[in-house]
Amino acid sequence: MIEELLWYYIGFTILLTIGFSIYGIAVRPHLVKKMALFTILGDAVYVLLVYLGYTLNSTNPPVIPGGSLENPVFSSKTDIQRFIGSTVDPIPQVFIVTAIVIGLAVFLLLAIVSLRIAREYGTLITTKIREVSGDE
Amino acid sequence: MKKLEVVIPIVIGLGLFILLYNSGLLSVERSLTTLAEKYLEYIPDASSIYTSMAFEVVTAVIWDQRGFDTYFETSVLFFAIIATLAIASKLEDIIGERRSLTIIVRLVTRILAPIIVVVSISIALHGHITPGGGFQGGAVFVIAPLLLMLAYTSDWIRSRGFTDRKLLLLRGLGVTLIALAGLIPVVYSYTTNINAYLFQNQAKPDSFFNYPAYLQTPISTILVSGTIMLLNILEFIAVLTGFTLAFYYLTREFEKRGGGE
Repeated sequence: MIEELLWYYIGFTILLTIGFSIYGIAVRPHLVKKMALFTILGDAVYVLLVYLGYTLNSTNPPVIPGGSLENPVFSSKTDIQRFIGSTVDPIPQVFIVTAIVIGLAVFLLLAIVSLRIAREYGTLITTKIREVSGDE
Repeated sequence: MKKLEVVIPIVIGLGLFILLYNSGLLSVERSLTTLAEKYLEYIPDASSIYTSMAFEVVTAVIWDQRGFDTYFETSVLFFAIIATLAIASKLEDIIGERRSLTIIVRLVTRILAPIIVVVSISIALHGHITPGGGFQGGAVFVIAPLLLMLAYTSDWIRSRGFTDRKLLLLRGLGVTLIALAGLIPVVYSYTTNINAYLFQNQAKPDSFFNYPAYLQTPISTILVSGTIMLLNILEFIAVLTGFTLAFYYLTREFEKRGGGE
């Protein structure tokens, strides 16, 4: 019972983080705050994906303990079957490894574009930028 | 106003929770997907023909089954850096003087940086055996140049001979070599009439092209898992030069700002 409650509690916490960061990106006018919340949103999604890969009896990462580069120790088929019963899902982790690098690339672009904006307009607050550029 | 700032995010979170709960993704009884079970069953099994004998299933899937995707993901970072280079203003003129940090920071950085580099190389080379791989090793490596640039100003990297042009060249070389390594199976399939796919590493149900899992050297036999180790090393170089460049440009920009005012 406690296990189940904790299970749902963790999922709810992650989704709450996603909710707060989406709201923040939409409402906060400062670009740096938007960037920070964007990173938090991305990281929360990664954690959600890892969480979706878990099963109740998973205790291992998807790595089979197998010795070193020069002396690999391969396990038998029954060992592998037993291992599958207690491991997490590797596929969400595969997505995350690629997503992290793309997230960093996007963040890098955001950072350099906001630097340019700060130099051009002297401010990073979107409402003020709109006043300076005279769109309204 | 203040109340709404708490209520709206909680409503969004609750809505997402209900959505996922109803679709069964959050259920306690969920188990591994069949695809995941297949990967976990075949990849580390030395007697199967679909194996690359990699103990780390995540790295094996990234560079074998999802190799094409991973290649374009590496190029995204490459294009982001090119865009950064285009947007960042001229690199050469820096107004004002830049000072390095205190002796404490510099000494600790000098001690830490080599350790970080060694750990990152170990992570990248053992990517197919223990948790880690090219991305992870590269991401760890970048901490060393970033610390050094913060402690000694961004000129440190240039004074060691790593100009941004050289780094960019290395970065392009890494991406190009990954692409060429991925093309080898296709060229092979055209010349011998055996079915093979882009970025194929080990045999698939309808194609029996595969690389040897072991590399024989005069000193010893090394487990390389086909192309996985090679691609991990190339990816390590590509990611570490890419991130070093990114942090180099950012540090330069911030130094310019600090020096000018």
